[in-house]
Amino acid sequence: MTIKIGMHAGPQDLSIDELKRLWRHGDDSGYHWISVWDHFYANPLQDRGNPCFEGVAAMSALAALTSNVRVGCLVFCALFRSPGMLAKAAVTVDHLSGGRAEIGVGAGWFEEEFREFGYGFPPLGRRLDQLEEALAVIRSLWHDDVTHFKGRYYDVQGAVCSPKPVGPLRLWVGGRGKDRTPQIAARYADGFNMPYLAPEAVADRLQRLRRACEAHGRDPAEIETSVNVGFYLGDRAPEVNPGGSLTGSVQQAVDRIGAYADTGVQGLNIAIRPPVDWDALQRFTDDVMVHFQD
Amino acid sequence: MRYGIALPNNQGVARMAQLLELAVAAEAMQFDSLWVSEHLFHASYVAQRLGGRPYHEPLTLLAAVAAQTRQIRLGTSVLVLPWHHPVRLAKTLAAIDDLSEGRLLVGVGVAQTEDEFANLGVDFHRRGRIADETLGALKALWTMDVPEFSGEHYRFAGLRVEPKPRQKPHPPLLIGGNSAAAIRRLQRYGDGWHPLSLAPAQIAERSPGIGAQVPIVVRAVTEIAAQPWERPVAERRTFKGTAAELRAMIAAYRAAGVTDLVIDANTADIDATLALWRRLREEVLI
Repeated sequence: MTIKIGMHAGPQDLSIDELKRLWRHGDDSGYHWISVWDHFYANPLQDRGNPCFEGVAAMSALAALTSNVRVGCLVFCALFRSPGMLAKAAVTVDHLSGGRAEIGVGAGWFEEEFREFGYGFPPLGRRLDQLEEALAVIRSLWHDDVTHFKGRYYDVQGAVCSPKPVGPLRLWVGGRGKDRTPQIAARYADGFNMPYLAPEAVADRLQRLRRACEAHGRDPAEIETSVNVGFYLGDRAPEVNPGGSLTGSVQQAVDRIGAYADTGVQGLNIAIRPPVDWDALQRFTDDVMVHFQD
Repeated sequence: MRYGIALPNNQGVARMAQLLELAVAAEAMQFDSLWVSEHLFHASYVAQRLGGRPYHEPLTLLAAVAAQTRQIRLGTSVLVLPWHHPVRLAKTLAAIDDLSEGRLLVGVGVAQTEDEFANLGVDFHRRGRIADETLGALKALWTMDVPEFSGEHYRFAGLRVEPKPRQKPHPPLLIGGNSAAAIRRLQRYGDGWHPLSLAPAQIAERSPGIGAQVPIVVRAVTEIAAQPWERPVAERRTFKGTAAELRAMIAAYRAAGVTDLVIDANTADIDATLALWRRLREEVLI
């Protein structure tokens, strides 16, 4: 039974020193993947004064401080930066990391940060439309010599993105949605990430992704898949999404990961929410990961 | 570096006779040691791996292997201490040490399968303390003319227990596990350390705590790959890579203080296991 174990270490509610320590632990302990996330406020929103670092800058540091793991972001909000800016930043991180970058892009959901930082908060359908356009622009900038794109949200004419990526630079689409998210992934993505879903829901989304791939004439095997799960090994109770979390003992974690592996999902990222329980993390690394070595 | 093999009693091979044939083959191929594992119920990852297939009893198997081999050392990887009464365990292990002319290596651990403990009536949360007592009791049983031990779970005094093991003062006790608790147990009771699936760099990080000259026996899932892998060899937790990478990984293990590498083919397929051993002998373990 194998599943690639990663770490989703959001740059919030902790100091940069502790964040770096998390990254080093992951890079030295056989994790396959480390990703950051992209928010203005620590979430779920409790106090706007809680620290939250920016995604692109954090990802650059992750690239520079590690040498083994895939360097990811799950996910950049498509509406916060122009797709050209995000595409250029991604290629820069790709080069900095020696081809280890993995770029997730989503439609965003965090209304307070949208509104208070001046982005407005368009309805979900419109955010998803804009996400689709952004994905098309980013793909083209990475892979085409010259990009010409005219959409409802973006007008990019004769743009040249150089250098091109050195690595596979996969574009990930992530989300919990049942309908449009798998459709968008099938059309534009190299990776499909499912945050905080229980194994049964993961099985459902993978099925929907396969069907969407058939509809778009895409081979589902081209799309890498992963799930994020809250990390609450030990006595701590999950604050959010208990169904999509690892809780309790080592055996419960092993059995839960086994249930995810049975769905056919290829990767599983433990999402660390500070305060970091370092003893629990060491137990996970020593006693749980052993059962899922690639 | 000495090389051992994991005898797949934990992989669902149908008959013990097939495992005996493998053991004889391992000795003929001049491996230094063979290792068997222990679970009683099919719990957790064992259930996922085996379904309804068998998990063969390790000490019965080692006794049979002792009778059919002459040189190869016989190890456990690992016996789960809280599942054994120390007196019966001391007797059984002394018997295997006798049958094998002193070839036994006793790897011990505590396991993580909570529901297996529940079904055996052993308190999962006391397993570390029970294990420590069992180690103290085993040493008393193996070394004292009239063994005396007084713990919370076990106590005995005033009666002889014979025979003593063939090896003196007793077969090496190798403490299994990667955790800080395992290292503490090693410092107190152990003659060696038996980590599972730890990268050379991780072993090097922990080995200062266990002292020089202490044997380190690492068991690792093994595969000879066609393609190189970007992760540096010192940071791989499995013994997987091209033949050249595996040779480099052995050098990294050696530098980390590892004395024995146990090859775990991690399959019930006997032919694939033999083929892997042959290729390792020809291309890697040179």
